Amino acid sequence: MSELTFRVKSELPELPIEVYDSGLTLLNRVLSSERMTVDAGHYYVIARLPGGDRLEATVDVPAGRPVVADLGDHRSHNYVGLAPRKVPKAMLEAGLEDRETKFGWKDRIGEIRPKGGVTERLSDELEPTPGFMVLNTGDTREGKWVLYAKPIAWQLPSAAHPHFVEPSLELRLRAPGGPPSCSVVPRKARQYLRPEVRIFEDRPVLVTRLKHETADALLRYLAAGQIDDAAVLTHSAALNAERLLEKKRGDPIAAAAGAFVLLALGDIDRLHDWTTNLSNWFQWLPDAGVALAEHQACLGDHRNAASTLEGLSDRGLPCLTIALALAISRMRTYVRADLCGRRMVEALEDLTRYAIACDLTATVTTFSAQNVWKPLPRGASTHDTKLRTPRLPKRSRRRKEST
Amino acid sequence: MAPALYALIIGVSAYPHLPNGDGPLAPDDYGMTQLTAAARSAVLVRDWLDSSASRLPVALGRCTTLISPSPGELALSESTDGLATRDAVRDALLQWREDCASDLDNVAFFYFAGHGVQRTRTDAVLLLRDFADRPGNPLVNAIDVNNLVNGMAPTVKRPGMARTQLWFIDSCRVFPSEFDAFERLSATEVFDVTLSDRDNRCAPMYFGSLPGGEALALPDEQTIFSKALIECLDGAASVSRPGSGVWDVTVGSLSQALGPVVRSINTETGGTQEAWTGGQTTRPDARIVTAPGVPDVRVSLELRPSSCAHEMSLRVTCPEGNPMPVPVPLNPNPFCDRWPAGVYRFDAAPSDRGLIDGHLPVLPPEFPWVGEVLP
Repeated sequence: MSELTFRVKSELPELPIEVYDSGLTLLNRVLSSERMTVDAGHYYVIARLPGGDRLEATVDVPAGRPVVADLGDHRSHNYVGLAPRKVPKAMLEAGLEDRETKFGWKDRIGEIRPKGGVTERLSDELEPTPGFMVLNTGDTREGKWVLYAKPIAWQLPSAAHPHFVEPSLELRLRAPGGPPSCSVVPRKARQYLRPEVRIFEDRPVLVTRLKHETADALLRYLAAGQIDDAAVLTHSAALNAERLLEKKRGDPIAAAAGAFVLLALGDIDRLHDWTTNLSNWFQWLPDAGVALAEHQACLGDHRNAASTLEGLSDRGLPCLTIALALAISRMRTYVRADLCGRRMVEALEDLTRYAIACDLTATVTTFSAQNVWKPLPRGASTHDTKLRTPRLPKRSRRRKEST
Repeated sequence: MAPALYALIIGVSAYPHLPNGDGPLAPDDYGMTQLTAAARSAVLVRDWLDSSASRLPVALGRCTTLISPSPGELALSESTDGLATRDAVRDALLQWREDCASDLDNVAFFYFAGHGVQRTRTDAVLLLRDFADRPGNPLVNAIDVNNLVNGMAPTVKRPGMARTQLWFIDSCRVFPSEFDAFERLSATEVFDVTLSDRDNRCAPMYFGSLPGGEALALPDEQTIFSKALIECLDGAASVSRPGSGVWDVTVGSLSQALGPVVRSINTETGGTQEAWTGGQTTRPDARIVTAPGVPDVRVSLELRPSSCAHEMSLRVTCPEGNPMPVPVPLNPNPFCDRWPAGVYRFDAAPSDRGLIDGHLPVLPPEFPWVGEVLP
């Protein structure tokens, strides 16, 4: 027997790995940080990135000697590799791919300057709203785009305690040819998020990612349908619940992401007190309440789940799109089942207004709005045309019909 | 009674109350038109189930197919169970639920092709044949997928509900502007709302489009999603079962392969569609079907830069030692073909241009190989 370990050259700290024997039988799925014990022989090792690109290695394992499978080093393949696919626009918009980033913006949310500064310098041409800080700007053929941030006192209209407002941060991308894209996150969440502006087909898009790379990858694997890879990655030490839920050094948004993926995988037993602690220790995070409610519902404890969701409007809009969708789906069921009070009905109406304005493929809740209190239904101005005249490449000779 | 797979398959091409339909015109067309391939796609999926019955993990039980055929699909009606009207679909759904609830090890199989709209990320509303047949709520003759999925949960009343449920939604997930004023309208809720016990279903939902995206079809032929789905179930989504030499399509492998296969079909047909998976996937390794044999893999071989392709000779040998039909020089570049899964030997000449000789695993669903040629 020999020990097989992996070396991965990737932006991600850990990757799910598939190990095949010489007959192409899948032997195991492990993390790149793990080691396997294998018989001497010939093995193929494949790592899939979120979105489907692959890194590969072929290894000959001699008896009794450890071997490292080197993935991602093209020299080991001597310039033979698997092609990076042409990434479809929709995947790019979903933030499922890292390529083609034209404008990166990292960790500047902590550098928001007091009123003035860049805002004043650009005021003539950009007409920024007073009080907003310009975080980044750029140009497209259509004109200039601006990413603003602004601390606001904001809550859902259905909140039961209007006098108690959790400080929030509004992110707003203004670009020519469309309504602004907005995100509203609790101010305490800002240190865990990384907003970026990406240019897709000359169109700037607000793409906010999780700073916790493993949790971010986990959501991207799930969004890309790579369920097997997501299931392997949930075992990463970086997603250890105790570490993520540490009050001072933890990352509650990564913890929430991990909980949602475990719920999607039905791995309820692994959640233990994960969602309860998340909800109790990070009450400012709406997603924590959604995770707890969903966990309770999956266990059949619907009364407590409904009670947890009753309080959601006080916490605000969930940061993660998956949390918003789960909350709405579950609340709808409880409203129909008459398992809730007036507060949930109102909260459901509030959340639905934002949900129909949301970019459904984004990781972090991002919606179209003239201002954060008035979300605009998604695609209202374009879908009618699109349905009647499907957009097809010019090279297509066959007419398509859209369902 | 032995566990079985129970299928409900719906395909709606003809909408009598939309433009060019044969019924009274709806007050608004909601930006939608008649379809020509949804009913045929449903029948193709049904036919696939029939022909694959021996390879399913359980016996094939009742399989109900309801369609609304376009004029070009009228002949298909003879082999189906009726029109996909609200009443017929409602009755079929109720029967399907009772069938599925007869054994924990049953498999529930639901497929819908037709017009659809979406309000939130996990939401999908499926429009039936009699959609918009009268003024008022246009979603009366539409069904809410959330209601279906919730209604199929294991409950005290139905503890034997199938724990494996496969949902295939082959429709658009856009939010037409015409529905702006109807955001709070409810689609028909077929199932009474019953709250689940511990929900340990493996219930993946395979959508034909991304949230907010479109599902497309080749007119008078087939929807792109159904084409990809059948190709995947026939092996393009399979993984080798350890120690057996048998290839299985599992819940996880199907989820992983649908996207690449849809994209490959896009490349062939000029489509822009993207598949998406949601739902709850408690057992990614749950077997859906066993492939009929060693699966074919979509292979693409490309030499870069293309200007050097004519200077290189690339030879590929199959696992049995026979040469594969790769043109020398590589033309077209990229060269596309379908090869059985296996380990292939690649030899390149001249050998000092950067390409190695070696064995590479060709695994489903696709093998996009690129050789970088040194100057």
